[in-house]
Amino acid sequence: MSNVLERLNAIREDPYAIAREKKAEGMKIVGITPMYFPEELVHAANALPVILQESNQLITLGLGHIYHYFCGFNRSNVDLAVKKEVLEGLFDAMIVSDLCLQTRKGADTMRRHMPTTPFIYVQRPLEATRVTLTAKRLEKCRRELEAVLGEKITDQALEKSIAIFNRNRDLLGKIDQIRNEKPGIVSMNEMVSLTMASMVMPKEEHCRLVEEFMGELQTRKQVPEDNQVKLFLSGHLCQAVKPDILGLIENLNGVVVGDDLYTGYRYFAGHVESGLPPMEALARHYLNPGLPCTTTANVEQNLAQYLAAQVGKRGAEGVILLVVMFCEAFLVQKPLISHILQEAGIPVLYLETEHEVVSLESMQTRIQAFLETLKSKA
Amino acid sequence: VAYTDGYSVAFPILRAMDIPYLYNDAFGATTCCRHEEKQFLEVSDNWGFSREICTYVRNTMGSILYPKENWDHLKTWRVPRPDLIVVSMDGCSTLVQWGEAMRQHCNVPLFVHESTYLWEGVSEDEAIEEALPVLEELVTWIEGVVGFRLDWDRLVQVMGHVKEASRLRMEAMDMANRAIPAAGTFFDWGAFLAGMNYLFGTEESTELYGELLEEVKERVRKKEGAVENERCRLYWDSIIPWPWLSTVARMFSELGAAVITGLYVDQCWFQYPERIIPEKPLESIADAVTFHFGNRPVEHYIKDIIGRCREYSLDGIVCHATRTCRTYSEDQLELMELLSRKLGIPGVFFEGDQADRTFYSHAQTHTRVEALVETIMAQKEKRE
Repeated sequence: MSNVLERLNAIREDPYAIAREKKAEGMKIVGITPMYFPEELVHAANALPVILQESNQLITLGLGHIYHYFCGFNRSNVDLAVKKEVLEGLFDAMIVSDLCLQTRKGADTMRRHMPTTPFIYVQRPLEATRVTLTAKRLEKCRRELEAVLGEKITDQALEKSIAIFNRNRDLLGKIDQIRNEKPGIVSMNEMVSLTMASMVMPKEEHCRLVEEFMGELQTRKQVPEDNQVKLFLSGHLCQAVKPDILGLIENLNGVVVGDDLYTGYRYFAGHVESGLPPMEALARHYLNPGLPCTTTANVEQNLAQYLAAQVGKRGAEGVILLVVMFCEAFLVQKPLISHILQEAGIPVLYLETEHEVVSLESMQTRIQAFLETLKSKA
Repeated sequence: VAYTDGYSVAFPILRAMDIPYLYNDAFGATTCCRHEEKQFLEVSDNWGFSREICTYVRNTMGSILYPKENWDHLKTWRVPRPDLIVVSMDGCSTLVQWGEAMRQHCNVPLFVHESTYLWEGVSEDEAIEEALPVLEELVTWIEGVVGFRLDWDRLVQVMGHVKEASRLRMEAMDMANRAIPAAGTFFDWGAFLAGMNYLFGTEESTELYGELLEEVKERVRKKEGAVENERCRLYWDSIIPWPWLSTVARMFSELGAAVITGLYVDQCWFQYPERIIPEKPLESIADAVTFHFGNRPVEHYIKDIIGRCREYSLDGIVCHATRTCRTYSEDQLELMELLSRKLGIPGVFFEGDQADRTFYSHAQTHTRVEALVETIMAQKEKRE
């Protein structure tokens, strides 16, 4: 295994290791709940923004504080906060980007169990046109961050941060382009690992890591396309798909040519506009992150239509909807998405994932049957 | 025809414009109370809606997607399709997905109203200030969709009725709750919510709640309890399991437990009549939705519950863990810890749902409630 892959695997295994190292070096660390919060604000305050991740740990003590029918991401983070181990003392501030009642509830419970960590709350409007309100709320967040971190966040610093983050988006976008042009050359697990790394390490270092990864890709041989089935993955907001599940898909000759997962394309989609006042540009991106999202009411953008277009553009033969159990934000829209895609002649497989045990055997059978169907259609 | 979900912010405006509306939350509850929800849930299940999403959403979508060729079977439940949809996010983000699902299926315009959540550090004034422009936007939007203007004098009149109906309802509940034995129960107040939904802002609503108050006065005067041989008095957290309403109410009654109050009946539905200023209708609506319980962290209503336990001589708490309403059940574990362990107020929780009968187990709930009542009685005996 190459150095880059080893590093990526290590980050995926222990996503807060880098934050702990940086903290020991004196850097301030700011935890952020997913999704979409403009991390540039934290970066411009010379602190490290870290997106909260779902842990691999079994949820135990947390179950006394959050019901079992909340999504795994939130149960897992409440559990970590209650256990006072992984997150204890790690964050100099925690930003709660409220776009879902479960995230808000999870963060509110964490707040009670992390009394020494200042929590900064930002309510992201759930209607895509409310830019002014978003900008106002982000401005308040900026002032609160300045107070907590003791650093002035200037417009100049913001502009620099935006440039660095846009470059990071571009680099990840190039990897996305490569996997689309040369199916199978980048695995979905690698894509997730790369994206997750971007969420938890300094963007400058991550850019170098992506460049190294790109260099490595040049030495890779493209997988023969004969037996492959090209797929588009959709769903999984907030948390990463477990490596086992992605491994199953790829071991069965499914090749992911595109996705809209949060720890995937959704994280680096779009660009923060240049030429606008930085706070306005950030507000626009926070609200309209470059692709439709089921958390937000949006007359202009519709996820099902977006998916249908992406399938055509990327040459995918089918869509796998990967949905986190109890994630109402996606589950409510799921039937309509499936219907629209099926009406457009696009085959869809729906898989539900859980924090705890998922029967991989049963999932394997379903994926295999789906891929066989697609092959027979080809 | 308008469809609305969430907090009733649009009711006054729609009423003042004589636009009939269907309140989907109440539609879901009512079909359950009459045990006729299955026909809608089956349709939404067949469409692929997960059982883990809000059952009111499944109910509404089942109604919208109900096959036209079978409409004759629906009788009273055949509702007109919407021309516009307004959802009001009062702390529950699922309302946005609910609204979007309806908009896409019905192909009609949707307005999303959001209240500013009162997280620690968010000032109440700031929240009201943010709510007002959105309400003004809502009025303009409705006018644009229906093609005629709102009569502001009529809105003032509607808000006058809302204030009066709310005053009478709150006074009736307060008087009944203070009485020993209690002159009404949480389940009665739940049924009486119908007036705040279907007769909202009308003279009939003030008449209804006026009659309710008179009846309560009479019962209190005669010391007539809603539960025969009242042994203990309880607080209820979350929504009523509507499909099991009569079963649950009877169970408590047979155990001599009067479930007196809960935030579902008195922290929603224009709950602070004293704060309603009819001449300032939008400000009053903004105020009501901002101070709605779901719009605040748990610390706020823990204080409220403690106050109520004292005022109404409550002995214990029952938490209904509404499986698919995470907004109403989200804080129960923390709430139980604070109230039971720290303040010594005993409580139980049981799993159920506001509208899916299959999440509820009556035998299990009965055992738990019985144990709670026995614990309370043992504590009382010890004290005596």
